[in-house]
Amino acid sequence: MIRIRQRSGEIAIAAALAGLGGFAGYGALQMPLGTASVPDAGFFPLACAGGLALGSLWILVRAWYRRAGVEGCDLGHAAVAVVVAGLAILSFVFEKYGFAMLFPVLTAVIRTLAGRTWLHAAAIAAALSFGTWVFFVVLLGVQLPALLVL
Amino acid sequence: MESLTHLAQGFAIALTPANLLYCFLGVLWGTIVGVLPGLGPLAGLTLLLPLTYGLDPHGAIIMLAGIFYGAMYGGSTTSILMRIPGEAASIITCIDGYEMARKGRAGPALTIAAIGSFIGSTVSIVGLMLFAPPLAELMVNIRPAEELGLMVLALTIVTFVSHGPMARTVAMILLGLLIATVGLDPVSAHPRYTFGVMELTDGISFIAIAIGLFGISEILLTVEQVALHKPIRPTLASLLPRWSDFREALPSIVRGTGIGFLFGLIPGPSGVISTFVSYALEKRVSREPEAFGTGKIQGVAGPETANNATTGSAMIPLLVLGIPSIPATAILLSALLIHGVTPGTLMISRHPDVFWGLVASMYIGNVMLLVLNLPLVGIFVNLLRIPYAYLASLILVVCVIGVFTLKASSFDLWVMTAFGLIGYVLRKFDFDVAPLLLAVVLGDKIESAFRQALIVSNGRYLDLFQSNLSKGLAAMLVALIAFQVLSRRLNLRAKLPKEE
Repeated sequence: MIRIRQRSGEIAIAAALAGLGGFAGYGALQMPLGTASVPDAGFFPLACAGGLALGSLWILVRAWYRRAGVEGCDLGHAAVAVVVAGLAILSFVFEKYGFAMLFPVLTAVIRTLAGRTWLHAAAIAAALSFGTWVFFVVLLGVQLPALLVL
Repeated sequence: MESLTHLAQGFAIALTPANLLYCFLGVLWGTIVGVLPGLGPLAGLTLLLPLTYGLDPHGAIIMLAGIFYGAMYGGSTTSILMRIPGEAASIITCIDGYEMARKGRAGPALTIAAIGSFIGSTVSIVGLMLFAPPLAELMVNIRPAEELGLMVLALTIVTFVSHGPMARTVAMILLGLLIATVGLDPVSAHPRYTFGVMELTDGISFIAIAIGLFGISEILLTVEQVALHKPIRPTLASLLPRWSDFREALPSIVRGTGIGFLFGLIPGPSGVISTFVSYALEKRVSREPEAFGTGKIQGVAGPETANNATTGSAMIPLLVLGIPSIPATAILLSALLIHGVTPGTLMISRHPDVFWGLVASMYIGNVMLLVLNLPLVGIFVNLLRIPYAYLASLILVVCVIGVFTLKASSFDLWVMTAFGLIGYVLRKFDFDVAPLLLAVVLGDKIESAFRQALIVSNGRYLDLFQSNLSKGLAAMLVALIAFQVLSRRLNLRAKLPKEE
């Protein structure tokens, strides 16, 4: 786990937002802008992007010149990493494999979060996958990728 | 009289077996998400929204509204019994509610909270019923310039009431407005920030963003700090308050109702703010302000009534103007749009069945909630026995399926995951993500109103302020900004001697 000071975190977020604002502003300049009286597609995005870049720079400068305190945030908790990895895997494969991938992902997530044995986690994951499949597919008739859980 | 006729028709809709069931499911799910720490009304709404796609508009809105006001009831249970606020609007209830529970008076605290919530909510619905139709008639001829003024005013108020420094809130709003521009330009159909990705031509799904920012990020924040708390378990017999409790709580309930109703009309986290204002007022008017924090029943009655009284009035800007004042009503807005009902000045005249059905269902739902939250409180407390690992896993599955069913595409899952991570990091460093979501919802409308207003005024900016309403809105905007600048200066001066 990494401990990041509040001030450093704010600076990083503000820099990212300013970068995004700059990038979006450049993108807006490639669109037809129109005039101030008759704005076209790029006018509103340019105004928002410009405002975002300036506002973020303001946050960055203020954070930069503020005295660094002791307070901070821990990032990179194992449980968070596993949940995000699980979601990323599901985002990648859910459309193709559906519920078949839900079971292993849930097993890993429950194993990490609950700290139980693999067998216990697998049993809970199987119950959850089956229960949600019955609820969504059988009861509600939601169209989901066809591969089954068990 | 006309309102009563419409209300009777609304009851005819709300009392059908199917709609009663949807109302019950809504308030039940609302109570559950209110009880469970880490899940608030917003997450509860976003999670269940995809399930309403197959329902008719009445059923869908009745169920979703039930979640919204049901969560406000449920939040007090864990605040009183475990000192864990089920949702943000119940934070203040922890102070005196938990102290009462420690002194063996959990029952009266829960009962007074439920009765106060019932009264606050019911009065708020009466207000919705009385004020919404005439306001809609008044606003029926609203022009794009005035609509723009209203939306800008709403976002300006959000910057003042949102937690954290104003610059951060403004940045979040601008980020939200920028995200809303992704997709085809509404006028010229020119692609904006689509990068050749087919899925982006429709824009970024608001639901995927909302579930990511609130549902997923909430899970990520909670799994880091799952702690075991032992709840205090009240028995049914101990729920009955003494007569003196009622006598002491009644004025607080009345004051809480007024505060909650007024704050519900204001954009921003009105539910949370109203509880703090109510608590401060109760402390100020009390003969023993020093006893607050040690288990005063007024410290429970006022804030709990106030947060529930916001639910009805928060519906007024949504249903009458089509402007969601808080993220939860933004979800209701998208639900209405999905079901072909456009909230705004014409909604009550074009879809009276939906409006009055909703109003009637809110009366019924409040009675259901009173029953659910008093004798059945023990059952809801038992929910906290389920390990959070299992609950979090279940919520993740529901999020994944809910978002996937939007377009049967994994693209929205990526959006949800990305915004989950973004929301997690932003919230870690005290950036309020609620203004971002509100701006995403209002972005399209603001741009369209801005461009239409300029077309109407032949491109002359000064002509945007021609009508009295526009002038009034502009004056309010200027007054708000001036007030903010002035109050900051005064604060600064007050701090100066300390710093020196």
